[in-house]
Amino acid sequence: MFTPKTGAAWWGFVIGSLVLSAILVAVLQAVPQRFRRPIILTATFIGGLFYALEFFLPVAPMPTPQDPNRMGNFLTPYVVPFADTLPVIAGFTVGLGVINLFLLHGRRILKGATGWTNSLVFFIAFFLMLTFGILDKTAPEGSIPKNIYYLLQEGAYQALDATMFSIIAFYIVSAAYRAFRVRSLEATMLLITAMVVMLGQITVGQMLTNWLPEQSESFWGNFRVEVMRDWILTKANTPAVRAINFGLGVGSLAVALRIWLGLERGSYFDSQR
Amino acid sequence: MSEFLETHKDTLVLWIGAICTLGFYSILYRENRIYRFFEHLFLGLAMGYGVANVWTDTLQPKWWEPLVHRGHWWLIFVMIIGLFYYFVYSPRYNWLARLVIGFFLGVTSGRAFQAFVNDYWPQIPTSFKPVIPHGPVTTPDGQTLPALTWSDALNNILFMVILLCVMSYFFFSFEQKHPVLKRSAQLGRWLMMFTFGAIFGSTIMGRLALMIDRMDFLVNDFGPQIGGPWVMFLVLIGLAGLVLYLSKRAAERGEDTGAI
Repeated sequence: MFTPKTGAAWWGFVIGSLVLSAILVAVLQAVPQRFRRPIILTATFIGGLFYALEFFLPVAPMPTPQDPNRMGNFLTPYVVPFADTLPVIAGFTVGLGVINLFLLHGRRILKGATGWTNSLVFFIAFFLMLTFGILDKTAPEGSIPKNIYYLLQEGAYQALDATMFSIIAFYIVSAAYRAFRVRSLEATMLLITAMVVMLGQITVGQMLTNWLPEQSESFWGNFRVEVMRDWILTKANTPAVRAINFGLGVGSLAVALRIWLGLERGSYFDSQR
Repeated sequence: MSEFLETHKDTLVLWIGAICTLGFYSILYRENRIYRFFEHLFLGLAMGYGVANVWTDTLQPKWWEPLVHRGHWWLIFVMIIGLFYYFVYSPRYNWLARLVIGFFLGVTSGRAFQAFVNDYWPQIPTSFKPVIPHGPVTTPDGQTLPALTWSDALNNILFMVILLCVMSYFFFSFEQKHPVLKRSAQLGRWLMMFTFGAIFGSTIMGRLALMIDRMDFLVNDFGPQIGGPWVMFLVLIGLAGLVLYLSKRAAERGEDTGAI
């Protein structure tokens, strides 16, 4: 059944699938309210079951031409096709964000609200980038679509993107001013470490301690600001980050287990219409 | 048109880039119309770029091509599952969107087991490090292990102390009453402050590098278009002075400019 079709057979299967899906939606919609939550929880459990079983079931040698040492069970061959399908399904959800922005800016234009011209700019920019972004892949070198996409992407988008993130530098310096005020032992530690890291990264900072001998020549070389910075980032920072990651890993595993087994409480699982 | 674009595209890119950069930086003075214009322009371009990329990199090669040109009709179900998400807009069919969202929450949860084992388990044995200094050692199978100096041993001890102290901070399953655990969790908290300081410092430097890159673009790349890098440099100094003057004047009048 799941073999490629062409011509009328293809149309038949596609239309049949659409009709079948419409029937499925109608049947699901006819389900009484009290059964909806259990159905969602079952779907959640089934969704997680594939990867969980693939992971927990015993494995045996399962060589392929590409990977002669592969180990797996009867679910392993489906891991890659399943994983390849997920981004495609996620790709269809991109429209959710687009619809939200269209509703927001469309309403503003229709009502002539303050800043409606900016909303118009949003629409023009969106459709220009979308159109020439798609045409760019197939257009020949030197063609108008290719050059317009170059102007939009290299000229406007990249410049705006880099500038937007560079503006954060100003905000972060403003935040640093607040954070670095010495009010407690923790704040002092944060201040000292951040100062050493920042000074060690710039030439002016390194000049402050360049009168000290090289690290290889003397013990006092360890107190050069760039050496201290390297030590903080590679020796002191690594175990702390690793420990934080262990905490995150165990925490995320616990949350995943709660979601998978339907134990998680909250608006998502509790309120069903 | 085509010939003009082909000939002048590099110059146009410089001008567009410079106008966009300066327009965005106008926020440094206050909320203004120019900034709003470029903000919406960026939003539109970013959204268009994202949607175009989703189509050209994912949907077209992995869904449209096999479905339409290779006859893989069953891929229509992938679209139908994806379209279930759009039921969020319908009060009547809303729960069907939750069905598919629940399914993918389950998938993500199922993957978490594998992710945990692949990401974290290899880090556990590598966290146990040698702590006694020694010279080069030849193992029975002929391999030579490098010497461990006193400073390396000290760093390894420090590594494990920091790791254990910070981990002890994350014991939330019971109240930390035992004095040893209490002290080590306190030390872990301080050590995390060092880490956050290092991360914060690195982040600031990263963002400043981006700002320097934009200044480099304006002065060295765009500068020659208006008479040379020095001209652009002076223009930037003039603009910075103007922003400072206007901000000061606004502050004297007691206006809140919303500036950073």
